[in-house]
Order: sequence, then structure tokens, then C-alpha cells
Amino acid sequence: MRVLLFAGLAEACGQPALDLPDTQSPATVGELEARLRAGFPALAARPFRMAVNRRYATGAERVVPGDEVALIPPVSGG
Amino acid sequence: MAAPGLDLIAVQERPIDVAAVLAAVEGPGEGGVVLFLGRVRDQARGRPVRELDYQAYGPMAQLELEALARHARECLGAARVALVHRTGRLALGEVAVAVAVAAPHRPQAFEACRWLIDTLKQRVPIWKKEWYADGGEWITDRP
Repeated sequence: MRVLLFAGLAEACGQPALDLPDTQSPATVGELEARLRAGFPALAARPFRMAVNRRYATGAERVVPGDEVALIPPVSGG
Repeated sequence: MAAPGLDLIAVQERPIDVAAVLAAVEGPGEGGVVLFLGRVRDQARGRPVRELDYQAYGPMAQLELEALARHARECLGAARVALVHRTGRLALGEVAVAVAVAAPHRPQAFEACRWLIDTLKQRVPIWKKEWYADGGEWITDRP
């Protein structure tokens, strides 16, 4: 599963996306967030929301292989 | 999806054509048009700013902007909406975002325009990096 990163999160991780093995799929968005925070120290304490298929997602939603997952740090457009 | 012909929604690298933004909301039944332009300032939080970078999660930003425009039409009395945001490197003074609303009367136009820019800043996945004399910083806090 590919996880898109933006802005400060992409800089902190040194790449625009993370590739996760699909071992524990399907999972919930909340479980995926916990895996990411545990697996990538740069993400551990940084604020972000999760988006699945280009929509903000809640922690209880399912995420399956093939979904487009993105981490959305606090936005600053405008 | 946005109703065809009712909204101009774009996340784009090229400069914003303000006349085209206004033209997009023109209509014979709307007496009030409100235009908001967000421009690149030369300072932020007391630090001189030299230029800005904007990055967008383009496809999601487009969907979010379409949803905002739809809400403005369905719930706030807007007849037509234009929302355009720049990406990439912007110089001081350039227009980073344009919001235009046409409504039958001015109260709806003002209210919808204010709600659109406020909500855009809260939830549309676009990020600003400020460049100073000594480096750059992604902005993640809303003052």
C-alpha cells in the first residue's frame, strides 16, 4: 500500500510517499495510522489527518489494498 | 460533482486571471458579486518573507473545492461560485487564491464568500512554504 505525503511530512520522511507491505490488510484507518506512527519515527509525533480515496477519513473506516491513502498535515492554503 | 457551468474550480500553476474569475460568476439574475483575493505578503509572524511555495494534493483539493462551492450554492444563497488556487513558486504581491460569489443580493454574496475562504483555509489540502533570507518553512499553524 502506497501512502502519499505532503509538505512538512514529505520533507520529514525525505520522500513523497511511503510503501507499506500489505500484510495486515484490510485494516481500519485508525490501525493504519498506528502502524505508520510506530513504523516511521518522523511521523510519530507529527499532526496529520488521514484521507482515503481523496476524502477525509474517520478512524473506523476500512482501508483495503488499492485505496489511495494520504496523510494530510495541518493545511495552510489561502 | 459540481453542476456544470455553475462553478469555476481550479488548482493551477499558472497565474490567476482575475477578470476570468469574475466573468465566470456573471449572470443576469445576480445583483451582488463579491470577490476576495489572497495575495502574497512581504512578512509573516514578524519575519520578512521573500517568496512562497504552495503545494496541493491536487485531486483531493479539487474535490474539496467543488464540495465547498456546492454548499455555498445549496445552503448559503450563492448563485455562482469561482474558487481558484495557485500552486508552485509565487512572488510577493501575486494572487494566491481568488474567491468570487454572485448572488441575487449582497448579504448572501458577502456571507458565502467569507465562509468559502475561511473554510478553504481550514480543510482544503493545500500547504504554504514561506521563504525567508535564511531558509524556508512549511506553515502548519493557523494564527
